[in-house]
Order: sequence, then C-alpha cells, then structure tokens
Amino acid sequence: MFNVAVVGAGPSGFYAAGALLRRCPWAEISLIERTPAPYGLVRYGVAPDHPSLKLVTTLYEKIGRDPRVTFFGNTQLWRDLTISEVLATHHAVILATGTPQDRTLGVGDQGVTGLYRASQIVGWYNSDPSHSNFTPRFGAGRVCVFGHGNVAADIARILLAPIERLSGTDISDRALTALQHKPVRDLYLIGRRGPGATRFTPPVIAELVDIPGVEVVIDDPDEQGDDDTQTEISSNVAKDVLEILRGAAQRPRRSLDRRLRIMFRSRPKVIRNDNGLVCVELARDRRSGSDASSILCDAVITATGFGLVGPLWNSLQVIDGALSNRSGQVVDRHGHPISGLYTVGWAARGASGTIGTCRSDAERLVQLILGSASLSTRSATGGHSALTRKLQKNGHHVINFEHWLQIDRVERELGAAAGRPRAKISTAAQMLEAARTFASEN
Amino acid sequence: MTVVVTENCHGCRFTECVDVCPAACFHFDDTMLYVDPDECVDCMACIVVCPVKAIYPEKDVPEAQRNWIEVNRIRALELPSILVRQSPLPTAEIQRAELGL
Repeated sequence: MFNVAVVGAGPSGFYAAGALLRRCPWAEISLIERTPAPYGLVRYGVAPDHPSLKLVTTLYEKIGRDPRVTFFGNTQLWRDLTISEVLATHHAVILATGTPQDRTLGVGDQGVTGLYRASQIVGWYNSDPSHSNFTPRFGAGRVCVFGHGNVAADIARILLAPIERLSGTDISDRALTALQHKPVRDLYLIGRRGPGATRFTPPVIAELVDIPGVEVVIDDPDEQGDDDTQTEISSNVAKDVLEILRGAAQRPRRSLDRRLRIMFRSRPKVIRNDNGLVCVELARDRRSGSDASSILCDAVITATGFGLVGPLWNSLQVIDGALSNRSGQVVDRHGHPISGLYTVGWAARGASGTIGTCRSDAERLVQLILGSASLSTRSATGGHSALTRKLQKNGHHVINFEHWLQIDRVERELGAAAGRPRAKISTAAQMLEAARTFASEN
Repeated sequence: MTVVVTENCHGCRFTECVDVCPAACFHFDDTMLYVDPDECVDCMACIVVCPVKAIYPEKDVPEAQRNWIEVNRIRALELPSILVRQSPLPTAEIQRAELGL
C-alpha cells in the first residue's frame, strides 16, 4: 500500500490524486481540505458567469468518489493535524494549498476605508465562507481596480455586467442584490505597464471589452502600444491581447450609461480617504517623464496577484511567493529536500498558470514521486485510518465526501427552485449543519 | 460547445495545448491530436498556445475545415489520452515554416 496525503482539495490536489490513482493501483489517498467544500478556486475563484469551466468538477467528483480516496473536509493542517503526524503516517505528502494572500500595492494604504482586496471581492460574489462577513460599499458607483490580469478582468466584468447576465448564475444573493441596487457605473482598470505587457489572456480581454451597455475607453499616456514580451506567457498571447485592445481603442465613441476605462502606465503613489471617498494619486509614465493624475472614487480594489508572504509559511521556507522546492520536492532553508514532502500548483510555482497548467504539473510531479527510490525507505504506518482515529479522538467534525455530495445536492436543489445552477451555502456553520443533518439521518 | 483540432496539427503534433488543458480531453495517434467534444469545458486556453494555430472553438471552425469536427469526435473515442507535453513530430518545424508561422 502506498499512502499519500494530499493537502488542499482544489484543482491541483485533485489532479495529483487522480494521477496517483491511475498510475498506482495500490495508492491510498488522504485528501485533506481546510474548508467544508472541495474544489478550491474552481468553486470560489472562477467567476459565476463562466459556468462551463466549473464542469471540471465532474472529473474531480469521480476522483473524490474513488474508494481509495478518503476526503477530510473542514480539516486544517497545522491546526487539526500536525505536519509531523501526516508525514509519519504517509509515504508522501503533497502540499497543494495554493497562494491565499493578496499582493499589496505597497503604497502605505493601511487604514483606508473603501480599499478592498481581490480575494475579498471574489469571495463576496462567490460565497466564500472565509469572507461571509465582508460587505464592499460602492457608493455612487465609481470604482478603481488595480491590476491587468485575468483576476482583475473577472472582477471588472462582474461589477459591470448587466444584471440579467448575473441573475441566472450561482453568484451570491448578497452580491446580486447589491449590484442590482447600486450598480457600478464607472470603472477604472489601472495597470503599471503598457498594453503589450498585460497578463490578460485573449478570451478574457475580448469578453471584457464587449460588455453590452458599457463604453470602453483605452487610456494610454504614450498613445502607442509597446512590444514588451512576457517571459511567463508565450508572445502569441501578448500579441493577440494587444490586437484586441487596439481594436477596442479604435471603436467610435458612443455615450453609454456605464464606462470601463483601461488605464496603462499608471502607478499608484498615494491612496487616502477624502471626505468619505477614496482619493487615488497616480504617476503616469510617458517616454518624456511622468505626469501626476488623481481619481476620486467610491472604492479601490487591488488585484495585482497572489502569493505566499515569506520568509516562512508554517515553518516552511517561502521564495518568490511560493514554497521553496526543486521540481516539486520541498526543500528547507539549506536547500536540502524534506523527505516525503512535495508541493504542486500555485503553492509550488507561485500564482501563475491556469487550471490546466496545474493539471500537467501534477501529472509530472506524480511521475517524479513514483520514480523516487528514496520513498520506499520511508516508513508510513496508518494512512487515512490513523488520521481518522486522531480526529475522532479530538471530537473534530470532519466532512467526508458523502457529506459533501449531500451539501452539493442541497445547493443544486435550492438553485433549481430559483432558476440557477446552485445556491451556494455561504457559511461554514451552515455547511457543517447540512452535513450533520445528513449524517444523523444516515 | 467544444474546440476542434484542424489540419495544421497533422504532421506537426505540437503538444503545448495538452499542458494547459484542465479537462484532459486531448487524444493522440501518430499524426496529430484530437479533442473529445464531451470532455472539453470551453476554457479556450489551448487556442492561443498552438504554434500552428490548429485549434478553433467549434463555432469558429472555417468552412473548409468543418469536416474536422466529426473527425475529432470519432477519433477521440478510439484513441488513448495524452496527459503531458511530448516532443512534436520530426516534420513539425518544416511544416510550421511552410505555414509561415
């Protein structure tokens, strides 16, 4: 028996589990997830108006149902289980825990009211229990969003979407109501660099500049695109995105109700409150120097990336926003591999790459793990049974996969009653209650 | 909906697309790749990474290539999955040059 613990039941965790099941018939997997529900950013990150992408969960559900997988939902490593006991009871431990922290703008903006982070806004419209108490206020509807990547684009698109596009989705009730009553009318999407150097992908930017009822204004202080190439994505991507932006810039002006203004080469210098509003002071870079500019708005959202904030995360070394590792093998601060400990997905590479990238990364990591001679020398007694015993002894409420399938059924039924794919249960307490009710009836 | 692999893949079999596919829906034989239309989730990640622009969303497949829609469906069902990137075929670079890409 090959006991593997996968920590984090988002896409990376499921892909790692799936690859192990396929390549190693005698693998037994403990799938440990902090929140009651599995699926990570597919459930809590992918925007409500992109339902087809969420269909990858069909694949994950098949993996979760495999008798060789034991799902431990509502179970947090370093809180409910120690990493030592997981390492002692499994031959390999794979950390697929993602990069939950938002990168900041670094302009000394603490204590500003009306300054929000991407994870809060996305958590608000996606019913993430970690943000169930968060309520953004958009006032008269003028919002600045910092970031020129897909997360920023998703947020801008959801805030500017016609309400009828959102009402048939799994968006949270409270976000839908808020956007219905106080629409966002004026959104500034602000990025540091030029239009050739964004982190959008073509389908996402094409969709963003094509929202019905929204006028798109491209604001580039140097009036021409540059040809910076991105090292992290192929140059075809940057080229295609630039073409889409240029196309949008050349459209004739109309005067529509709502406006999206995409601002390039703009860096925040100061963000402060001004009479209940937020004042954003920018430096706008031109070839000939830099101009100052300022925007008075109701809210500012930062969507400039995610990462692990170092130097340590749960005693593990962090480098460049990810866990220090060599091809997925976690290393300590001296560069020595920590026996049996691996990492995959954003936790391993930083917050770049799509769901698909995580799949192929997981496939390669599992190939590496199964080829590792040193693992056969690791003793691992107990696997998932040992974890179950420990958690039961502490009276910890574990959500297993059957419980999750029941929560899933309830959400879909509630949604169907309202003509939506699901109505997410938005607090951990309510999910635990739904699971408890199921357990006591079965 | 789905995406469709069309003629430029034939003889090239670049596999950048495989690495970015979240649904593991690519299948292969010794000439090219095919997408299983029932597995594809329309994320569109593969389209832009293909060095020879062989992939289209189904609704955008050019008229002259529409026969590939059914070919993808039939072949994907018969062939094994490809899960990670591999080297392209020996004829890939020559073909890419001939396509001017």
